[in-house]
Amino acid sequence: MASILPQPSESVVEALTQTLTPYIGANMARSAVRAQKERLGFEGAVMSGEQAEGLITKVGNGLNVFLGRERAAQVVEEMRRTLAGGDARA
Amino acid sequence: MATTVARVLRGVSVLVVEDDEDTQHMLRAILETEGAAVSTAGTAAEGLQAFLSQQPDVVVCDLGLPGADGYALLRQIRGLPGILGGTTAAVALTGYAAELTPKVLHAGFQAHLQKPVMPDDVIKTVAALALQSRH
Repeated sequence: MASILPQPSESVVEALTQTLTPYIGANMARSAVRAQKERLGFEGAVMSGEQAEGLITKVGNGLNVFLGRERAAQVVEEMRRTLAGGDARA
Repeated sequence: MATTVARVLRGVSVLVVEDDEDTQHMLRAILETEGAAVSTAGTAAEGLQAFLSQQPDVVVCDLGLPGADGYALLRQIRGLPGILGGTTAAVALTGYAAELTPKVLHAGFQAHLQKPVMPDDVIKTVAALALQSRH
């Protein structure tokens, strides 16, 4: 699987929010991603691939309550593909 | 997908008792998005302490807590006099089947949400209970 490259933090937040929106709605998706980002203390303008992976993992774990484990795992893979594919770097 | 009215929980205080930290933070995030003031606890003991100090309008409680479970916490809350919050509305959040609902309601919870549960359902349930508790 392609690794996630360093990307602007806001682009990562936006990409993850867009990926989650069909599942839990735009407002909730944005809040969920931002809350986990803050919790992890990622305050820099650029997020490393490792940080992005950590953020995806935290968001994915939190999604279990809303989507169930199986579906949440699928969404985690979708988030990874989105960031590894460079969609967030535009 | 259903949409929520913006900030339907403005002015509502909610205590979330959930042992899984990631779930706890996710619940906090969605409740705060709708304007709620949220406090959290990871065990029944912490939950009771937070309840007594913060007197929330609504308690959202996972039943499967380590040690004393959500039922035990609610028994302690219901044992308090009304002035200390003994009649506070409470929602049970469980991974158990809907067949459990009668037992949950009999235990003193006002609602049972079964995981997985959509954020809108959490918001609507908390909003309805907060509204009821003010009438």
